Amino acid sequence: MPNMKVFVKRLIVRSLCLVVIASGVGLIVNAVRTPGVDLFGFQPPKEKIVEASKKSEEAVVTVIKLAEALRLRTGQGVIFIDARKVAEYEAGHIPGAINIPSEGFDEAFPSNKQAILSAEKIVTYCSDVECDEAYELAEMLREELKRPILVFAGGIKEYQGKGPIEK
Amino acid sequence: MSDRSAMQTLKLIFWNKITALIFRIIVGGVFVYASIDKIIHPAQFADMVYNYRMLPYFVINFFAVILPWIELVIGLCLILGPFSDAASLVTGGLLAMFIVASIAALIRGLDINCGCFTMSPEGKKAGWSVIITNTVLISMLAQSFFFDLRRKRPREEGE
Repeated sequence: MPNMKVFVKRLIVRSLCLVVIASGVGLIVNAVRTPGVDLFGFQPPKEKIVEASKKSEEAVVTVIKLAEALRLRTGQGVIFIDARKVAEYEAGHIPGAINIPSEGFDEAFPSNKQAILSAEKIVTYCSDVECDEAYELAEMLREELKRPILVFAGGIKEYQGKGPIEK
Repeated sequence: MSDRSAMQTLKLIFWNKITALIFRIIVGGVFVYASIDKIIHPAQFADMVYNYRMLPYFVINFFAVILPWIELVIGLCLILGPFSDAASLVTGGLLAMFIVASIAALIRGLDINCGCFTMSPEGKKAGWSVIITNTVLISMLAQSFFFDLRRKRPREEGE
């Protein structure tokens, strides 16, 4: 039994050594390579999209909150685009919103292009603050139309109960 | 064939050093292969880690930088032999972690790429296939680990 204890102890020490050595190599390689990754500065993809769009003067992706989304919904010349999957859109969406799933952009965009072009303001949204589809769609629309795009960050989850839902 | 002889045949097939070696090399090979694209594209791998929504932002890049190298080192140890027992322990821990992450993604309804082998958006989805694959790999690893452990024991006891 004492042998077993020693063996387990040695095994754990060896395992930790392997992890530390491998991590060390990874950190050194990251420090040397260009461009290396900022070790403690991760930026979620959606924030990268908003940040990158700021370099373009005429076509920026801007995040809006619920109050602004509710105000725009009742305004003129605003189109809401639901970036979720078709089934989710059909289960309930902001009234008047069209559906362009971010994954099926190439198929859904052409048939909706005219309606989008005629709108003064374009707002995308997805399910909640955690989803990325609205940002991905905003980025695709921005590239395609060279126009500013608004992203309603709270999505349908935040909207529910604050305004009517269309099915 | 009686149950007893069937068990003996199974034991002959699965409880020998050739099988243990093959299992170790397969698991090691999978880990080495899985590490390559992650080492080449750490930022994309960080995005895949983020998709699981399990780690705080400040840890994600650090994790994405060190994990592929841990996979590479333990994979090489499993294939080549040195420190294979320690590498097996770390590999088992990582596989268990991947299974938990995949189950969490399934429960939360996340439709995400697993980030297992490729950073391409067309990669394998996190779900049952990942859970089953990792369970098989853990079983293979357990066989080789315990077989090697049993072979080493008389020598260590004699020391």
